[in-house]
Amino acid sequence: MALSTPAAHARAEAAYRPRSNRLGLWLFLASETFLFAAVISARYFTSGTEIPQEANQALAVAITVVLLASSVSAYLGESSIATDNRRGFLRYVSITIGLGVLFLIGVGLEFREAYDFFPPGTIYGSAFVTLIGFHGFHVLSGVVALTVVLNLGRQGHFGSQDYWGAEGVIKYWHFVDLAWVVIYPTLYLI
Amino acid sequence: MTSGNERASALQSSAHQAELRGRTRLGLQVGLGLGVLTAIEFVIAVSIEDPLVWLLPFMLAKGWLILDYFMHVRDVSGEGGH
Repeated sequence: MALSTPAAHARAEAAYRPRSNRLGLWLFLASETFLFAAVISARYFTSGTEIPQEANQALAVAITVVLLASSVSAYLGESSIATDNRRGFLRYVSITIGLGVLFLIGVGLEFREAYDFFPPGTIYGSAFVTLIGFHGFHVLSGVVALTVVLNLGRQGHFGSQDYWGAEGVIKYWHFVDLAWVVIYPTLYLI
Repeated sequence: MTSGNERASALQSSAHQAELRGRTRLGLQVGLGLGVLTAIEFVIAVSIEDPLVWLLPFMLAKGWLILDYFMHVRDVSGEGGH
């Protein structure tokens, strides 16, 4: 009887929703993992374990460091809002967005070099451009989502008791970083 | 009553600051670990012919660091708090 009242229903939903949201996000990330696995395995099937000598190792290391650093700043942003430190949250999310944009600039440079040395018409070039483009699009969508979270944070949304929106986007950002952990050796080291 | 509320608020703020310091330290340590593993990967790749098998443990270790510490993967099966 008590559960039928609107207040009790709202309490039950507030307790249940974050758990179901979190599970839903993990299922989404699992489906994304299958997509990345398909594209990554295509690179090994078509090109074996040979990488072109022209692959720009310095640029690859640089953007890898940038993306790993962005994951650290994203984690610090989430930790800040979880402890009601709004100023830290806004600062670290801004840094994450900046690093994401820097990564995308690096991806743009990669694309330019790829078109010169191993164009999409070649087997390796096709795998390279598909994988870099697929991942780059995920980074771009992450930057857009983080910008939305930053603006909501500026307007006073989120707090230590309710920051699911920020947490979900930051988890997605970590997933993009996780994908790069496999893509970087796949395209540059193996 | 107001004084009691202020004291409780100050205690909570102090606990939050201590928690944030701990999380910041952990985040920087994990970031450093990811950087070191990436550097080792690079050295292995330039010094060993066909390094796929050698690089796999490092890729797995980096993935585990991100999944466990940054994405809190263990919370999926628990209550969800972290």
